[in-house]
Amino acid sequence: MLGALKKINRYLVTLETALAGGLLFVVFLVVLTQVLMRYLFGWPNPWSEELSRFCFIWLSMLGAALAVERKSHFGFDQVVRKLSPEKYRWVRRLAKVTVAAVSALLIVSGLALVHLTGGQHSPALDVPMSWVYASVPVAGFLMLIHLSSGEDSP
Amino acid sequence: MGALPFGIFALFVLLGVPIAFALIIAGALILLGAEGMPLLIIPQQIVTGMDSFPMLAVPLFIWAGFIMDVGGISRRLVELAGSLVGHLPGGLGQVVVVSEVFFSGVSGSTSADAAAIGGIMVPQLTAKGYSRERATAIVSAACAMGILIPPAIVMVIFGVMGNVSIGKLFVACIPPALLMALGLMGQIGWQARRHNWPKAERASGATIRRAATEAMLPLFMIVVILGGIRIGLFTPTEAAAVAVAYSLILAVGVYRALSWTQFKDSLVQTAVVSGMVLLVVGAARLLSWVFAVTLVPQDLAVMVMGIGGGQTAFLLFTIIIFLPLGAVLEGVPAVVLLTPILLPLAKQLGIDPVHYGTVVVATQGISVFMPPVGVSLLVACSVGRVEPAAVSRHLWPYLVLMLAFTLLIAMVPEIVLFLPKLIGY
Repeated sequence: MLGALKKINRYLVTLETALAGGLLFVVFLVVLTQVLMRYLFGWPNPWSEELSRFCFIWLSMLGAALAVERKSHFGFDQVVRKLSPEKYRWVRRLAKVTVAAVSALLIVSGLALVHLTGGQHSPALDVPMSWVYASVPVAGFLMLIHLSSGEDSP
Repeated sequence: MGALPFGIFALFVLLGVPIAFALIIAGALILLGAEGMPLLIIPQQIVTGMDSFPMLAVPLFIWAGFIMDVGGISRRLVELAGSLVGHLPGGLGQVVVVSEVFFSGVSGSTSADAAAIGGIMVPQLTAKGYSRERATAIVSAACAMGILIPPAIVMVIFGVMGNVSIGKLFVACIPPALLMALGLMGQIGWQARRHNWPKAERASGATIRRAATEAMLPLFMIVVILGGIRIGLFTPTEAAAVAVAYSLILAVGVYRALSWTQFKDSLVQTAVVSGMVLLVVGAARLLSWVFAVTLVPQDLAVMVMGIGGGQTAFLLFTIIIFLPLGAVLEGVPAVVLLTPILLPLAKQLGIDPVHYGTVVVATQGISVFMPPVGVSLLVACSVGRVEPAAVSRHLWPYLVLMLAFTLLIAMVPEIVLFLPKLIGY
């Protein structure tokens, strides 16, 4: 069971890595094109700012999920490190459960928001806002998978 | 009412829950306790916090820093610094400070600086007889100063959170940064004379010219970024994209130093760091929304105004509050959390937002290197392979000097405000 979960996790990490890296490159290209367009053609394109912002939101949520996998989120563990090994393990478990609970909360509340905003469309690109908000439950889901296939610390 | 979310947040952070998650928990618990507050406010506020075009400068500047670190640019800047100041008392120590001034001018992140400058300079310093602890302390001090050199991630974040001109903040930070760099160089020179530290031969004119030619293309980027923003060629975010393009052209086209694997790694590294930073930004937005609904800012304003003492007292209060918070929470989260609360109060007291921002940026630069827990100090120590406890004895004198300069900047706003005024901001 855990073996299969670890395998799924590896596939997901590969996919996330490629997507997040690719989105950053898209953001870079779109912003750069925005500058070039303005000077070469005197024509600011109306959708580039919105497109780069939406890619940025997805990139950040995927990056946040990857940071859970790599255990690199900003945190402060200098106090709990001073505990005895036995107590330390328990506190790490508690912290991990907390992060898992937040991830679950992101899924539930995120899905509710996605459901609500399917009809709202963005002003420039005219895409449903639910596409943007979907990054939250997706990231919550990825975080849960990363947490459940990793060791006992967030 | 205001103390409750702070208490929940602090409790979870102490238990080792990452800061962003502790913020979301605190926000969610308050929402659950209040009547008629739907939970979908959580994702909505997180996304709203991230949804900002100026904030896009953050991942782009971080990415440019990563490319320059592996792309052969940092080495050239160090060589130029070496030929310029290597012969002064405390030669290599001076080189660290000047390299950091150059490198920080092209890179936006402290961790990238500590890794790049520390990676090159710690081995050189130890080869010349400096102890590892001393070498790491000098690198840490230089990087703490380097946060004041634009472009810097914290300046972008302060600008976005506080609605302050990022371009103006960039320019305003230059004179205090140079002042602090000169101060550090003086201190290192004084220590070197007392303890007879080694120095190098004075470089010949030809050597300096060669090093300057080599470093010219990287250094020209500073002009492109700051000049381009000032004359309105592009916004700070667009400047960051131009910085990425420029460093890619240098690293791939000119120096041929960036492999495909390094390129992919730099993309993913950047994505992870933006995820870390932006989740805190989004989560902080959720909590400040909850605060605003529960009228905390007003209570706080009344409290702070009640203390009295005017501008000076408030700036001192800011420094005192940022030092421990920056050390514990990392600089970026501390700025994200405190700017929306403190900046309106500063404005109310008549403090110029750009002056206030400079004091905040300088303070948090020092805070992230504060022993024993400052996050960037830990990064520098892992680069230098030493224990933080052993470094702090050597680092404190530098930190005290920089703190003195920060107080000077706080007391004399003209140091910060004259340059933006001079060039017409």
